[in-house]
Amino acid sequence: MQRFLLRRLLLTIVTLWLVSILIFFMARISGDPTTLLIDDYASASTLEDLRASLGLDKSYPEQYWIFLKKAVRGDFGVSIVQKQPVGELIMQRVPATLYLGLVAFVFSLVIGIPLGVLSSLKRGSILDQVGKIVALIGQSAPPFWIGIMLMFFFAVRLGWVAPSGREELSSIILPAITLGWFNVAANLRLMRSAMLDVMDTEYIKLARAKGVSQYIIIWKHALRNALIPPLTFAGITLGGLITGSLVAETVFAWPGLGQLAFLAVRDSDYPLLQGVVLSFAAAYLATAFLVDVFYAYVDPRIRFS
Amino acid sequence: MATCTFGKTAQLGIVFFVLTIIVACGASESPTSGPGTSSQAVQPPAQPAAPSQPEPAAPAADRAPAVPAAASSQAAAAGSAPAATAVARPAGRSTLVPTPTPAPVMEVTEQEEAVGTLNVAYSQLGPPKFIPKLSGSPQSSINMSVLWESMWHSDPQGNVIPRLVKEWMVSDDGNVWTLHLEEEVPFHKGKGNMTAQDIIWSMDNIVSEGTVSGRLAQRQTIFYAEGGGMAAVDDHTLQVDTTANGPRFDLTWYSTSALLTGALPVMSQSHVEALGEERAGVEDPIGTGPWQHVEHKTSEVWKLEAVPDHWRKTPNFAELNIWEIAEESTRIANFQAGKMDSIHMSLESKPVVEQVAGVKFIVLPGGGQTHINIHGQMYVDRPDLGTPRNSSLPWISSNPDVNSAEWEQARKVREAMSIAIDRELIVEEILGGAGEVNHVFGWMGHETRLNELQDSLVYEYNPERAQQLLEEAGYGDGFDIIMALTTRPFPGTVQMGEVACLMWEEIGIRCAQERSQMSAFRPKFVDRSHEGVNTHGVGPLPEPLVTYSSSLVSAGIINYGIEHPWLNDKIAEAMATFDDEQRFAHQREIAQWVFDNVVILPMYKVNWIFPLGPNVDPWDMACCDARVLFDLEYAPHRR
Repeated sequence: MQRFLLRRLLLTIVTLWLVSILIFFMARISGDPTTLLIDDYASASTLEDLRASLGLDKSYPEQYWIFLKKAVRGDFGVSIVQKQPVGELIMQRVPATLYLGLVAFVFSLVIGIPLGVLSSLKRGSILDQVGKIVALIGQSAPPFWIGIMLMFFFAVRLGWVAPSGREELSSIILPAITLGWFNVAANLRLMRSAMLDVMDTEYIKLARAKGVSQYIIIWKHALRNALIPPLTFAGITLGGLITGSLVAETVFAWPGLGQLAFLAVRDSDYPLLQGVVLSFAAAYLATAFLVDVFYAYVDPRIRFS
Repeated sequence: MATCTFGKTAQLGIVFFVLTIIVACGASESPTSGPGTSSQAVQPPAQPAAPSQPEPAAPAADRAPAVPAAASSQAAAAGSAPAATAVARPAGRSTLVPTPTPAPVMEVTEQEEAVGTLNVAYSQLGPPKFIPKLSGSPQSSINMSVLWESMWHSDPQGNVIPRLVKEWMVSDDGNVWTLHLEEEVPFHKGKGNMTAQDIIWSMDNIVSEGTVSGRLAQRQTIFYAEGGGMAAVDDHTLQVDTTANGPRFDLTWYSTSALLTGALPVMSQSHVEALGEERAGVEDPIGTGPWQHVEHKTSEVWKLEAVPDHWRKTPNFAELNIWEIAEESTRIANFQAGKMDSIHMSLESKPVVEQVAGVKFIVLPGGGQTHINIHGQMYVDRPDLGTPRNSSLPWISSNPDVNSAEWEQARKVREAMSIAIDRELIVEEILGGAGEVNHVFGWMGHETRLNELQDSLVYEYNPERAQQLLEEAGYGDGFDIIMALTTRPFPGTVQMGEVACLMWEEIGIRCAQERSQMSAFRPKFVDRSHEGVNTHGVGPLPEPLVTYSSSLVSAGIINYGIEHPWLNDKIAEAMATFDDEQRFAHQREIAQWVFDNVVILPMYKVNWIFPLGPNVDPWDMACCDARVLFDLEYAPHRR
């Protein structure tokens, strides 16, 4: 077990290091922030001074080494545009992203699983068709389109919720739906197929033969077993909901990490972009590491494979 | 069976999609039921019965500027310099600067109690840094529109008008400027009154180490001339001696004008020194503007409140929230839902926004001027650049002599490029008529000062003549060119390049179009390495010379594609000419030269439009940073 853990930990660290290289160089492809910071009337010396003050006059390997040394201590530097420590900016926005991710997660379970169950029990019915449409849209329509459509319908046309921001309590609804809809679809499909499988098993048939009520069969015996695949999937996607909120946060001006990443790309803000992406990567890898450890604990075959 | 089921599902899915689209489109194009349908942030305007507040001390900016007594200049010159920045005072006589505007047109209505909340949304707020040296673009413009005030301002016609400086004079030799400040200008939150020393400190701060502010070189040239510099004659008189660097007409106009990034934010020295830069510049910022800081959330919102009894103009609204909403459709949804009273929007969104019940628009004629830069015209010996002039390109002469045959050949190519473009069509089709064609680079808003040239400097659309010119230049079969479609915050900038390429194809010029963010392209402005053309634009300018001196000369950090000894000399001569008429005469000469030699392709002047919701009426607004609403203190409640 120790060797397994060590191997997984090393793999996580190496992956993180590779991500750091990738994001470092990709950030530099996105443009030169100094040309955005100075105006058309600045002098050459101002530009040079600015580049020097940001450490951009050094070679890429030098810049990367400096970045890496600081990053391992959790110091991502200072945002070029916002002029605040990157760590501080990230921490300011973590609560909003967690909140949005968790609400979207709950939404995806609360809608996806019951709809999946009902869809499987009423195969071919209108309910089943509705479930399939929900799944089709959720898995095929781009989130930015879903977001804008929801906004224009529920916020502009009906005026039920705030179009954007985080000022009002209802502001969470539309971005959470936008973010969670894909997972609603995934949970629904997974739940539907799992339920169909379980309902076809021998022990369900036995229960029926024994005269157990349909209600007990479905909600007590079948659902418990059918829940395992969607719940496993939901656990894995929780990380994705938190780190994948860029589109929903940008469309709804939700002040979270996703929006921060968008701003960093827009402004070619290297330190901020590196910090946000590395934080996302670290969060994702940490989740994956914990899941691996948990699986290894549960299933000894994994440790030795 | 499975196939059949899937087919049904797909059909239902398509129907659902279509229904959703119809509903959503209907939502976006139908008039809303007004802001009262949902929680509405904007409070109703004051009822007639509301107690009216007495008019604050009528500001100079809102009245005709005072004409200084001739004697005041001597008094100023004779004043003793304070210890802060002691400089030798020249003994020259002073005269009133001849060009300040007549009575400003900002209309002041009877002052009532500030009530309600004004919500506006921009695409970008920038970092919340409220200290001169840390205030970069675009938040500097936003700060200047609410929290701070500039030394000078512009009226809606583009005239420079007094603001913190109520009157100003210059010595006859054009070297020493005497600036008389408004005397009762309090900083926010009881932090004392503004003095000349605050202005000196603010200037010192904005040029200090770590600044992100542009125009450092100009500021140092003007305000920190060796043996000269700034000095506070008394609490409300400031002298600026540019002696070592010669007369600088640009002291007033572009170095401190509110509407350019060169604006000088005036901060309280004692406040910053007491709290430290971090607290004073981020947590507890103050200024002298009509709005004072309440709170801010980075990249989310700035909340401000009206300054009671502001020295110049107390706002009509009690609160002002400035939101950052990056996505345009989200800004529009907020406007449609009545959550925002005004938003930054593109011209393309106007048809949708027009459907909102009660919408009005503030239209700023001449919000921006676009052009296509022709790169590679490097006729000045610049071994430092690393990229030699490539005279094999059709539009570049191997000879810098404008009377040479080589020059004429390349000029014909450039003229062909210019007259092959149907500018009228571009304005009609791309801008929907919200602008006008432009033939003279950099003169938007100053056309009348072109005098007789106004009618003669016109590139008539004539593709047949363009084809003929190309044949005369030896390029009857056309040539290849790279069109960098660089983005600018002016409507239609990229489309303008695409259309130009289509029109050039008619005469055989083949475009390789490359889309490029300005951040990616801008280094080529710096190292002059682009061998092609690019789309570009600039905002309104205090004088054409502002852009001439920064982008058409060798000394400029950036360059729009032309460096020529004649331009370098002539622009330098104009920059050192204090007399307004003489300077404009120089500028007309430059305009003629630039036009005749077709070194840049002016395209159009575009209006800028801000929509106003049902709670606000339009107001006279100075023009412009195209991204920002100015003079929000004048925004009136709709009645």
